[in-house]
Amino acid sequence: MKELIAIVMAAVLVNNYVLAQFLGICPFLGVSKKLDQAAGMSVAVIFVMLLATAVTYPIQYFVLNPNGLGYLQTIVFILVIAALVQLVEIILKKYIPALHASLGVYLPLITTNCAVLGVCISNVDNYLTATGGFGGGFVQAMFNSLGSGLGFLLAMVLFSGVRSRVDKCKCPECFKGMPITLISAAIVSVSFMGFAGIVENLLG
Amino acid sequence: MTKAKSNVMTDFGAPIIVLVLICVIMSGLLAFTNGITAPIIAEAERKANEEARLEVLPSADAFEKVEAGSLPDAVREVYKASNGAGYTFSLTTTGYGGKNTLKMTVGIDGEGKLTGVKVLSHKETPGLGSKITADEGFYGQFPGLDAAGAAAADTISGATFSSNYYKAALADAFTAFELVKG
Amino acid sequence: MKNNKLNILTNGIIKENPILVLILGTCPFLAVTTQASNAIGMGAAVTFVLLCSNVMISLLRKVISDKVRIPCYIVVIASFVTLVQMIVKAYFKSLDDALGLYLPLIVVNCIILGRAEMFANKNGALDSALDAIGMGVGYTLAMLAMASIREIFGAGTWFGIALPVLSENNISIMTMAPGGFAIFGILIAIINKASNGKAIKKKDFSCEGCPSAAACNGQNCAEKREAAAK
Repeated sequence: MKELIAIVMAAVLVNNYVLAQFLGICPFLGVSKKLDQAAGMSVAVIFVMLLATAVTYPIQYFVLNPNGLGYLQTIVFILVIAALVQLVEIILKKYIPALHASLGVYLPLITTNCAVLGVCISNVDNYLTATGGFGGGFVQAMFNSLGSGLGFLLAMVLFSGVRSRVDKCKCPECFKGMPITLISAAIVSVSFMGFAGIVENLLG
Repeated sequence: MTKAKSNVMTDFGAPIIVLVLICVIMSGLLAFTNGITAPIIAEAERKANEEARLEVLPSADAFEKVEAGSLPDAVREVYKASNGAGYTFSLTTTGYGGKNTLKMTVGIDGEGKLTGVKVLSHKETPGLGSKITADEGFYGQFPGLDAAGAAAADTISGATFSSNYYKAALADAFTAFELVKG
Repeated sequence: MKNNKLNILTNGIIKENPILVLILGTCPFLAVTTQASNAIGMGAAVTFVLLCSNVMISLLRKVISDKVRIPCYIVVIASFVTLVQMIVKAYFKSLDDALGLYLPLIVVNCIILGRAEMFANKNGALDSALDAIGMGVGYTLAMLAMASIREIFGAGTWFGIALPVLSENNISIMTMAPGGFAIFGILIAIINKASNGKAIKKKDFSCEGCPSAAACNGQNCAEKREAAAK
């Protein structure tokens, strides 16, 4: 149990997908301007990450590796993610129209979000050989995805707050827009560096 | 969206056939390339591991693989020198760059002293954590030390995390040594 | 005609530089540019995939129907990325270690799907090839510039060669995450200043480079752009 909490904490704070690992930067810079958009996108991302891991991890374990088809990983994963996203969108549209109206807009953009493919590949790299066989590794992988998604949410929400403040300030002409956003991201990233070592020291 | 039944073939059949054909052709291309590159990759890895083993345990002549049960997670392979010079341990462990990013080969002689440590790859911060391979004052401390000595060694100032991950890997190697030395 | 071809080629290098003007492919740009050698390697890989996929999609553009367009593109691009992965693992092992996760992530690099959507499916094979080379070279040059700055000041080396004063007095944060963001921002600011604001047309999220543009018919972004404008 402690191990699982450590995985989530590490993914959210120490190895934050956006601020430390540079995954999911496009939506981070593009969609973080307003809080509700940022939150909506992040929730959609968490959902897709969990679903994608739940499907791709078993595929790698039971289908690709035993048959020596490891090289098909990239193609299979990205097609699975694209298909899942389409499926989720269709289901949402049909059964939960209200949710589709608020989240559905972001779903097509998640297909090309490096964070989702990144979390699937890194789960397979890190947890496939873990103790506990398929079950143990799978649970750790799901918690890692949860943590990564939560980290994405945290970064997006924090940053949208930062951006709304920055937008109200005066800044040199050539810095307006993307440059000042990036510099703000740099400072937020520095603040997250302060979390280094927190997992080892807190949970032993 | 209404679809005239008579257009089912052109609306759905043709595109799907095109998609499937593309999938089949690309997969064939990949399988072909895999057939060529996979042996090269496997051979290169085997050679690199063999060279690393000789580098950390130079007095060994040949190596035999050792199977052992409950080794620490980080220790992936253990080899024993045929002439009794000692053991080598291949580790893949956590570094500052993330899980499974620090790959090392460690040699320990029959008396439990380090004969050599080689970092095969890492993702430490360039210019800072990367000093574990660049700073001789750090990595030079270890050959000749036993488990207690290695644990007490100095870390690099400003790169404490990377140094500690390095030392943790060595500790795992020592644990494995205790298990296999028999 | 020749002038037109040259235009296509140089478009990707300066006027529509994929990363500094179109702001696409930002993830590997920030992650891989800690060392100049990695930047060249990644740039070469991206150029190769871009070239192969642009040409193939352009050749197949009359055959691929609109309905299955995106999955087809994804299969083609992913296959070439896998090809590059295999070649790099076999012949350039140290590059494979350095790039790590970002090599397979080329498949979601918006530049490639974006150019397929925007250019390759509307133009002939030769034009698509030129466009791909231009974009690839532009991307590589931008990455090289970024990586050189980060490596020289952050680690005191360039292409692994230690530099006299800088290697003892390096500013380590440059090679870490915050440095990446900051240098990127400064680079764009410099370009803004140098072109008096004319270069960067897209300061915010825009449809043109977005791979999902065709899927949403500009609806998603239009809403967001309205919302952002308020």
